[in-house]
Amino acid sequence: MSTTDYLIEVSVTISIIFLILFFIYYKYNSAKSEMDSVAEKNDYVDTGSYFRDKFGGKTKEIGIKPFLLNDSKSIGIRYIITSIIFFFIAGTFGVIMRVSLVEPTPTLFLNRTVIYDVLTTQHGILMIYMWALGSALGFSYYLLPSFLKVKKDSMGGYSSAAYWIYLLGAIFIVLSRSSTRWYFYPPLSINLNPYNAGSFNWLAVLGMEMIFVGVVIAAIVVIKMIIMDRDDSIKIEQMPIFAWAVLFTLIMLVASAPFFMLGLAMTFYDFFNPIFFVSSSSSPLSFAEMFWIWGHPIVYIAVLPQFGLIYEIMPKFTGNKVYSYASGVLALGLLMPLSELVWGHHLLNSGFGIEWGLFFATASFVVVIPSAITVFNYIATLWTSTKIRMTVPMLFVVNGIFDFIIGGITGVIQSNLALNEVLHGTYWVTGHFHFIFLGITTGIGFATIYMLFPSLTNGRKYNVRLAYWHFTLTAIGSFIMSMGWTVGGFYGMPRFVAGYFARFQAFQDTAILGGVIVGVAQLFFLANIFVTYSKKPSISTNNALEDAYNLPAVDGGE
Amino acid sequence: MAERTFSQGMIFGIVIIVLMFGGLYYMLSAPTSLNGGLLEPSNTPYTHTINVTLYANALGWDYGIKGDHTNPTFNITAGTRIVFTVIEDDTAPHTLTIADSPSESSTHLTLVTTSQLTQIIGHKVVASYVFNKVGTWTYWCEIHTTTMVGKINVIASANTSAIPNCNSPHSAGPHSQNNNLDSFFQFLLDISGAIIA
Amino acid sequence: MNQKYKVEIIWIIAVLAVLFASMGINFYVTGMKSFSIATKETPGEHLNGTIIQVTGVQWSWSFEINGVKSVDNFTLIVNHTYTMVVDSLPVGTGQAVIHDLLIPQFGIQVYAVPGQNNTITFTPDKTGTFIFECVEYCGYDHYKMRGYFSVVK
Repeated sequence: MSTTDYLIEVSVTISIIFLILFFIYYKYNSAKSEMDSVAEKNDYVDTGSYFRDKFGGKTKEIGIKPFLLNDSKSIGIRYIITSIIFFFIAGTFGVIMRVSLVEPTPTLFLNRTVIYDVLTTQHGILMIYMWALGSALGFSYYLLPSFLKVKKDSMGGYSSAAYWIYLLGAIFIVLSRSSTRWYFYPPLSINLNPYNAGSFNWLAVLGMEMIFVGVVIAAIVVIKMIIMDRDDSIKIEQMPIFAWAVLFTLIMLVASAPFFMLGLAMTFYDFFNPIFFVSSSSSPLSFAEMFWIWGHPIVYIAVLPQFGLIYEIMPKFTGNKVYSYASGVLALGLLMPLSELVWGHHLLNSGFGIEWGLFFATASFVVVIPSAITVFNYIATLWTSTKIRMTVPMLFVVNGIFDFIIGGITGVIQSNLALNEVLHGTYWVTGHFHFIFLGITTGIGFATIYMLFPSLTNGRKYNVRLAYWHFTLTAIGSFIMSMGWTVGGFYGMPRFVAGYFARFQAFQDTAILGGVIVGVAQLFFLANIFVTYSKKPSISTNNALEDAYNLPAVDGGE
Repeated sequence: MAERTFSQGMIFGIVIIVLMFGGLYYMLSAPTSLNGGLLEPSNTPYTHTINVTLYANALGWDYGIKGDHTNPTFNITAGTRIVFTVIEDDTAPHTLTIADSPSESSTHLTLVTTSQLTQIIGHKVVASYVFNKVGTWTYWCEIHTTTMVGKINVIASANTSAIPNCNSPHSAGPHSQNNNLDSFFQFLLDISGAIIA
Repeated sequence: MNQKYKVEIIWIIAVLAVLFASMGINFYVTGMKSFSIATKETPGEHLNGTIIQVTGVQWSWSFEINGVKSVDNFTLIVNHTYTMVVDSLPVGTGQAVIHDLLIPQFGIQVYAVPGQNNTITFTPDKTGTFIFECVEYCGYDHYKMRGYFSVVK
């Protein structure tokens, strides 16, 4: 067949496809305008919500329906489902890479140590952006309309689009098999070969950018929901602390994300024409600084909503109010500006000099004040309570406070300049943030999921025995793992290595024990899903977290 | 109604398990220097052996003489076993990787890895391969893909001469393009493989 | 003033006291002679002590002391002041990446940033064999950028 014949065939085929597409679009459009007029007759601004209310009804439970509707509850469930799925994917990576470290020389990935790097990169990115950030957004979308008695469910279309962009970005990152850490620093990340960033790291950069676009849109929608869509009966000074926490978190997110988004865009340009972050024109450290201006707030974004959730969960089981509402809000509010001032402590030994070093060290000390007020508030609430019901969510909360105290203290210690030179880049840092991420982010995340369980599963109650095992093993395992790292890191055990000096084997093996226990613990949660769904649902689908609030009268309006 | 949500919740659990193992399988099959898809024919008979000494320098492979960076082309007959003696010439890490295509391909075999060829100048590594398939092969260093790349022409005739022809240095342009396209298609295959798996 | 405020203020004062104490320690320690922190070398700055030219490449460290170059190991003399000048160089035609040299037993850490000479001055005060390692992820064989060095009399 000659080229001309081929071209003619292709163009005819494409024309037919486009004719069919146009016909479908025409049918769709005429049907839509008809539906619009019907919806308008029934006093609805948005056609989608009219049909949702007319035929589908509201949804609160896990299933396929939330993916087709775009009210806040559905969007929240989407984010919760996605975050749980990615938690398990990234958790599997974490356990496998931990197991591969059983010997000082790589055993599981002998001669293929790049797989260790790939797993670590994926574990970090997915856990932070999909689990921590995803679950925080999910809880915000799910809980805030009830907490704030939102007048109308707004901007569902935008939220839905943001969710799909976010999900697609995450899929791109998984597909890219990038091995550049969540750091993405350019001299490494623009070397597209298996020895540096992985051959398809450009896809990861693209995916990262999409995650940011999705998250920032969602953040703005939620901020608007908190500030503008509150019911008139809820004054801003009486908002639930969770709403405050989410508000501060998302303002912080919107304020600091552009630095890294810009950095990623410049990195993407550097793939084709390296001019921005190469040593001939600029310092690779300029990217590092752009990254950490975002990279430090993101770790607060991963804990602040959970702090707010603790304030919501705790009174349900202690029977009294939060000890001091004002200081709780003040502390969370203080964390917002302070977290933007301490990014330099991630780069203390890069040649800043002593003046900047002292500034960032002191700023890092100041962060302790709001954290200490928060912890004080929790402890005082527990202290003044007459009777504490130690159910599974409450156990997660108590363990979270305990882990946060240890993680917080290890965090302050490493901001001392002299100690930082020993601890920077070692497993001490990993231990520090795993204490907090496992205790607060993961623990409170699961506590909230257990609290919401009846609603999410259409009126089923979780199996308490399995949930109790889930908690116990998570708490013990995470403590053993993080402790092994923290102590080993104090002796200089380096992070992010596929092999290590034989003198560190005891610490690594301790951490492997803990890591495997944490991994097994999550299987109890998985088993709980199956056990729960094999039972018949009860009638009430209300959950303990929202029962004080009237369920929202959400209707109409885009 | 209850029946339907029942199955949806179960499906959620099953989806988690499937994605856990699918994701793990996908990550563990990440391309590495040793896991490229081309198997070494270990017990294939060979007609004769050629010894080749290559100096590994980031500027180009040197055959025999240090410092000419020519990336020599080898003309051999099918069934020849080449014994490569790779000698580190600078302090940079190098690999010796071969593929049975006219350009660098993601389906390849790494004969000498970076850890075997330590970054100590003068370190020697010996590796051999029997070339049975007729056609143009490529040998290159995975880290210096544009400078350290050369060809091996395998012909079927009985011509037994194996003179390395010092051709003009390899041009980077078209090859890197081919490489990108090749690896992109391989990537699509990988994705579809992972989805099916 | 009610009981709640009293407790809160006592708590905040206690926290502030601890913080001020640690801040004081921080300033005191960094002011001491023996303390050194990685600084960006400015031309013409006086470097005291024998200069060790440290170069990080993917994936090995090379040390040059008094013109003698060694890869992944070196020897120092006890109670002698050294200044490390740390740089990162590319491999072949590639791009240089960031490394980070850590000697945990001496509390020394300095980034190797391409195109920037970071310096750090220290005096080894005990003899023996010690470890050094790279603690900034730098690619495939990052974990192999480590080794032993000895301090002799």
